[in-house]
Amino acid sequence: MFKRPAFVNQFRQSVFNKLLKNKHKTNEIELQHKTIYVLPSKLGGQFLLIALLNFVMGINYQNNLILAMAYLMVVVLVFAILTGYKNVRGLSVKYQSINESYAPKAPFARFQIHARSHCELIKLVNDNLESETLSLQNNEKKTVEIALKCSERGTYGFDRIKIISHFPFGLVSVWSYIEPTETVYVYPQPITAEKLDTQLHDNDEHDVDNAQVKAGSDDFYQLTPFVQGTALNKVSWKHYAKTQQLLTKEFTSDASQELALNFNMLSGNNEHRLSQLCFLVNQLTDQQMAFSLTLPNKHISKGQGIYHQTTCLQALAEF
Amino acid sequence: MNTPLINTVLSLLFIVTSGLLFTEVATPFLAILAGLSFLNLFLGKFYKKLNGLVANILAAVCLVALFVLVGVSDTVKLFVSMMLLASSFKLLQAKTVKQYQTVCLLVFFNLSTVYLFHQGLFETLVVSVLYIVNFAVLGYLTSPQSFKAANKQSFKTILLALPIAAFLILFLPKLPAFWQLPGPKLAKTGLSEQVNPFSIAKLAESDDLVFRVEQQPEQALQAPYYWRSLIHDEFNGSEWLISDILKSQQYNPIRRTITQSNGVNYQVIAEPSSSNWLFAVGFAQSDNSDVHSTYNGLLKRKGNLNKNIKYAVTSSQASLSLNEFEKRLYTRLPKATNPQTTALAKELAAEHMNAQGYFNSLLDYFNQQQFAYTLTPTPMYGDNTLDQFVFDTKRGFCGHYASTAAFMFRVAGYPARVVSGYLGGEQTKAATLNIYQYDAHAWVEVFFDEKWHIFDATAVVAPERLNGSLSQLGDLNEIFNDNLNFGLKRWSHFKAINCLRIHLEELDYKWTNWVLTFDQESQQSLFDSLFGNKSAWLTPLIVLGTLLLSFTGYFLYNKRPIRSREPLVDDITKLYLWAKKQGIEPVDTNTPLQNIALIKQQKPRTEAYLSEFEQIIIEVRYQQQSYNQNRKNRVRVLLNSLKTAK
Repeated sequence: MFKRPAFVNQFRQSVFNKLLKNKHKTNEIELQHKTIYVLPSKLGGQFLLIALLNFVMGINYQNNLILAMAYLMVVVLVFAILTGYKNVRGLSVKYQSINESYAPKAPFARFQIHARSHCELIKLVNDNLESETLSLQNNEKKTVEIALKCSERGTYGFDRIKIISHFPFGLVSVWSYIEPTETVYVYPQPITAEKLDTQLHDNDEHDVDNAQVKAGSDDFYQLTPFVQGTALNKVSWKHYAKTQQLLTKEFTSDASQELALNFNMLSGNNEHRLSQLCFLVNQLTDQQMAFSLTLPNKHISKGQGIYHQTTCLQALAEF
Repeated sequence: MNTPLINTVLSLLFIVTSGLLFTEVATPFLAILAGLSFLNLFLGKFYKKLNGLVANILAAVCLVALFVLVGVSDTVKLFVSMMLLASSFKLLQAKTVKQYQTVCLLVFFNLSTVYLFHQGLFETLVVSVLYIVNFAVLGYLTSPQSFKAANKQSFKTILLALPIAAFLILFLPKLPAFWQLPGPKLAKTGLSEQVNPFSIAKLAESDDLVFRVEQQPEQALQAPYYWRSLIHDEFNGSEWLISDILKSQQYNPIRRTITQSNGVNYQVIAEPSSSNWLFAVGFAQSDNSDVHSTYNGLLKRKGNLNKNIKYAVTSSQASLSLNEFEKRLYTRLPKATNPQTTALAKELAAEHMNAQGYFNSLLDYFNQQQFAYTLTPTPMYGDNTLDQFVFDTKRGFCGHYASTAAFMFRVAGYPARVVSGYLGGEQTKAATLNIYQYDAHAWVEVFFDEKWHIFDATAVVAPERLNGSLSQLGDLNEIFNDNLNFGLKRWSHFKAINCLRIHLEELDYKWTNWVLTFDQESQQSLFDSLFGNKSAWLTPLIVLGTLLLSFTGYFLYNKRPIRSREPLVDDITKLYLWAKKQGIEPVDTNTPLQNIALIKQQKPRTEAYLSEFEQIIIEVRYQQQSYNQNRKNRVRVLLNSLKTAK
């Protein structure tokens, strides 16, 4: 298949950016006169061509009935444009969230569509990716998901998502865009890290024996504020009963297992190392262990829980 | 997407379209088309599509069949058949929505081609229904709604678009044809260039309308009406033909201009026909831009567009002279044919020295010698058919009499020619005549006293034929009816059917007169009568203004709030509105039942009504009972009684 040269796409992109004037760079958009674009669809173009053929035939044979059919087709197309425009007007699309995704899986973005008045056959399109097609009643809200195009590890700006409807008859394309200002993170593909023990430790003070001893120890160390993701059996329920405050009991074993993940300590190329780190971050979070993360360009100090995990994973994606 | 349903509907569309072309395209080929559609119906039932190789072989076979059965001589028919074939195959292979959409688009074109052949009311009605269904399929392809709803939407859209399209037809300036296309040849019977006595008898089987005549009340034509179409000047021993000399004469400048004052003016609305001869009485002339007035006072269509055409004619019967060349042209005869008739003619000519006398003696001869008028003449073979007719069978149709009489005039040395056209016509309204195929007639024009005189032996053999249509001829009525193809006309002796026939005829007349014959000239006169001399700038202004207005109107109509499809929503909203007026604020997050309870609490006197309303809500919403007319009415009554509750 013929592939468009890159500069064509770039040119297209820049023209689009210029025309759209950042009108669509928002997390919530209500489709109004200024943000709705209407053109006959490809089918509509072919339909118009047939109308033209009918017109030429009607003229050449001086046949009023064929002419009437040609005019009828054009009028129906104009009606379709008006109906199509009216169909999406007042629709609001709101960015909700994006799911966590690890390469090579592309993330899904979730949008909420709210129709003030009845709206037919609306869908989200991201280049060649499409969401399901929805029809909404008066004042109905529906959530729709669409895959984003980014599948390699990294951070991306949001794709420009097209909100499109071909209603009625499929003859027109009525569309708008939404381009949320969020950053899309695609985390590295998790790969099992070998020689976990030796490479985890950042300083040599903690030798293997030490770690084993301390892992078995159950001595109470301190209370820290509850972080989401911590196992409930570590919550100090006594405190909670007294003060309604969620605190986590930390034991000496946890504290001493001060795990430091270090990019430089791993082997393999950059991507491989990041993948291993990703695996470790997830595993340690699952085991409710605290750890720090050191990347050549960033250091994240010790922490635990889901929020910490997300920060680390985002750092890995950003690398 | 409900593929079997779409497949079925599109297949049926193709079958009906092929059916509409039944009389025009070779029947075996139509059978193939219908077969393909039925194959599609059959395959569609099982979700199957033809596999590639089979489809290709089938397509190749059908293409060969197309060229063999339809032929390449009529390019328009070939083109239309090819389009239909291609669309049928596209449907056979269609699987995805996109492919079905392409089929729909092709149908839009195929349907229009039907109008190349038929523009009658009935066909228009059928094609319009197919259009609506096709739009419905197009809508249904991309929408989850039911096919019934799709049809409803399509019908509504077309109904709203139709007035605008009609307006555009009326007011958009009509363009002349960009280029000449070959006209489709129609299968209709009609006059032919050779008058073979038998060929006209065949026309008597057809009750197709040929043309209508609108007379002006103050300038009525004189009966009998001889509508001239063709002049045959060459006799080859058995048939009368149009000689090349006469054909070339058609392009001579018109012999003389008839002024409106010395002629009779009337209008003719001719039906579509593949031949380009038109119809007029006497020596005729027309100023219509689509009509060519020939040297011999006949009218011809310009170009080969076989559409309805309406033209004004001026006819007269003025004197003229023939030059020597023309005299020779109209007295030529082949040597040594029909010796008995020749002898007879010479004998009669010897008795009567002047032309008028010979003319009368011929009439007398046909009158006295027991000649009979018949639609089923005895077949004659071999040479000297005129002799066989005059001396043996003595039974014939107009063609026999005209052939014989013209021959006998020429033997006697008088310039004579056979003219074919139509005789009479059925009076429908005060000043309108309908002329049908079975009115086809042939007669003789003989030149003497500076004038062409009409000699029609039928006038003495069957005098009733002169003053009416063949259909009104008493004696021949039965045989005429037996001869006729199946049609309403055949049953016209039943009063109700005849009444229906006359009404349909009236409708068809209006359709033809107003819609089909609306052309550049009628448009110009419409503009002139509406806007006078301001039409040049007023017309585009009015077109644009009306379009703008109608599209705005459509947009506003579209913008009105759509009633909710969920049952009872509107009623509950009404109840809330009422409650708000009473100072009770329903809570948005509450269910309707909770809110009703709230209202009941605050307005205890409405309790009886609201409880019943509640009951209906429970039945419809929770027990899935239907929200039928009974319940609807009851709810309306309940809501109304709330307002009057004391």
